[in-house]
Amino acid sequence: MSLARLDIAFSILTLAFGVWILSHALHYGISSDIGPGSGTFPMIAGLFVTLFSAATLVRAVRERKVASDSAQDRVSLAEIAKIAGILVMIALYVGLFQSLGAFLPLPLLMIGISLVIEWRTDFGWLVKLAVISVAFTVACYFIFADFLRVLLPVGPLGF
Amino acid sequence: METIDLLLNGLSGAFLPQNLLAVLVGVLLGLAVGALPALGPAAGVAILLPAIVNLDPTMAIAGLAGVYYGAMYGGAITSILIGVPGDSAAMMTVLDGYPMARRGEAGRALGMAVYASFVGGMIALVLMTFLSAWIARAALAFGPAEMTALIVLALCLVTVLGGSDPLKGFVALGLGLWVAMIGLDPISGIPRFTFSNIHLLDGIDFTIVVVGMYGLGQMFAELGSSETGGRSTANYSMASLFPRLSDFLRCKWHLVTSALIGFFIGVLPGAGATAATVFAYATAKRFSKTPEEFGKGSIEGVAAPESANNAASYSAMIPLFTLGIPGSGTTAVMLGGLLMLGLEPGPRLFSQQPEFIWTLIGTFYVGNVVLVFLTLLLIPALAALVFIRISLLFPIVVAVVFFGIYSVNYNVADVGICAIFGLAGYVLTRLQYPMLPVLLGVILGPLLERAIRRSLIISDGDVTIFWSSAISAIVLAIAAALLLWAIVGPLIRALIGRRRASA
Repeated sequence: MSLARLDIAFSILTLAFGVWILSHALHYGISSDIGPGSGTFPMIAGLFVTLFSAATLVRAVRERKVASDSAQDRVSLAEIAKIAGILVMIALYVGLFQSLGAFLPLPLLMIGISLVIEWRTDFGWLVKLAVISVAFTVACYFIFADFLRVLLPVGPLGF
Repeated sequence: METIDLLLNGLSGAFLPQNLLAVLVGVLLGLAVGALPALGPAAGVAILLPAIVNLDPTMAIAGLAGVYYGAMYGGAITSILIGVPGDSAAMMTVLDGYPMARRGEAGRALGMAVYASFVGGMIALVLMTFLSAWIARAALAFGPAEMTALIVLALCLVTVLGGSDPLKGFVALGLGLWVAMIGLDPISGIPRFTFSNIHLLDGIDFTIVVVGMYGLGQMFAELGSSETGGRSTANYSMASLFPRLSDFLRCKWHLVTSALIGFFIGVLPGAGATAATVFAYATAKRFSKTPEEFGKGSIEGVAAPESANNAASYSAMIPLFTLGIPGSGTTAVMLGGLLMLGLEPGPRLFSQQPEFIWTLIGTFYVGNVVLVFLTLLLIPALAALVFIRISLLFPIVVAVVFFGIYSVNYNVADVGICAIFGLAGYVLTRLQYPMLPVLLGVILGPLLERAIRRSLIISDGDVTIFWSSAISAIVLAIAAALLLWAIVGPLIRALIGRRRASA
């Protein structure tokens, strides 16, 4: 998908968002008995977002015809897939965080993210990845749990 | 004389073991972050932020500042060795540093980058020592109306100067101000934009926003632009890192003038180290005896931007500590750190906590000296970092981000919010929306709202309180002019373009 089209879509989104902020600002009240109301600053923020989004939308539509179609000006599905994959890995880790503890699933998170970024299944690479992930997990334990005394959830194995 | 006495006391405090350790950790992290193309100093400071919240304030800020100026040293490494700037402030170093490396003079370029960084840093520190105290004294005369005007000007300056597109900058500012509104109204106490979620009643912690946008967001953006594997190595010898006297003599005036340019431009909110290096490079080329060599591997082309970017990194901290207004993205993150530690940056910090300020300035001197030796010693290791695969680096970054964010409120939901801001940072970066206005909106928005609403309550709603003094009137007029220029400027340029096309 071209960045020019995404720019237009994002401008429409922020324009709608700005209008939404303004509607809530009016609901909170612009003025009160003691001066500006709770809605005054949201109104300012909403106005900035709305007016300048409208300006960027108009400019983006005008410039769409002369926008380049080079690879640098596009967002590839591979790029989006990598980001989505990383977010899924983070979500899975968050799901396992309380039940398995902070450190047990951490190597799996790191290996998963690495494979999402670069799918390599040769044995030597996987072993290297596993060693680095476990070593870093141990380092995180000593830095966060031991040195900084961050209270992290404990899993079934006691860490 | 008083300033020198204060500095000497500060230096003695800087040599305390815990402060030396903080400086060492900070500069090492800064060197690594600066050397890595995927992360900038703002990301480095952001990632360290959750870890410093329980430390002594001097240690914490000394460490964070060490990341900032350490990254200025480290940024030259990737610029010279592989032609990719480690951060935006190192981009001008690529123009001459990389050609020098390609013809076998990587060591000479790296050595000059280190010494230019040291000279630029030292000149800036001396100026900072004497000017900071003066600015802080002058700032004590600023009342609420003047500070309000200054915050408005800083927001406009950063938005207009800090990116290439003021229109998108103001959208970003509006989004940042909105994020700051989430939570309870500080004066009336009613919930705003909380979506009936109790986790949002306290608002969104600044750390979560900045780590998400700068830490994860930049990482996501890098996924789309770079290869995942390593790069080819460059060869140089340790002996070649040591400078030649002829290089020093040739570059001596460039080092001084570039440091001064870097210092005075870096102190302007929004301008930052990047703009300083561009001006310094252009000035060095203009006054060089061999301007035709610039862009093809001139040692002066390495010395000038490196001196400037280090000077700017120190001067960007002056408005932060004296006025409470950050001058760059990294100092915006540092402001979040100061607030987390319970410190209120501004003129009163100098008068109420002089020991903290002068010990901190002392650590800057120590850090700048330490960096020369550390950088030279660690260049081989830092060069190896440059070639680390992203598929190994990014999982480590995500893990550090996760633990860091969780440690802020011990709430795993914060990690999800951080990931959302990471996605937002990615979208903004790809669509060329600047992130700095978002961050300043988040940090300065609540301060601005409280200041304006309290002032209007005191004046019974009389808005003339904001231009009742000459200072606030002039500052607000400049801010209004900037805002107007951002709106009218593109229209005028479009009109001129149409007239030329039809002519």
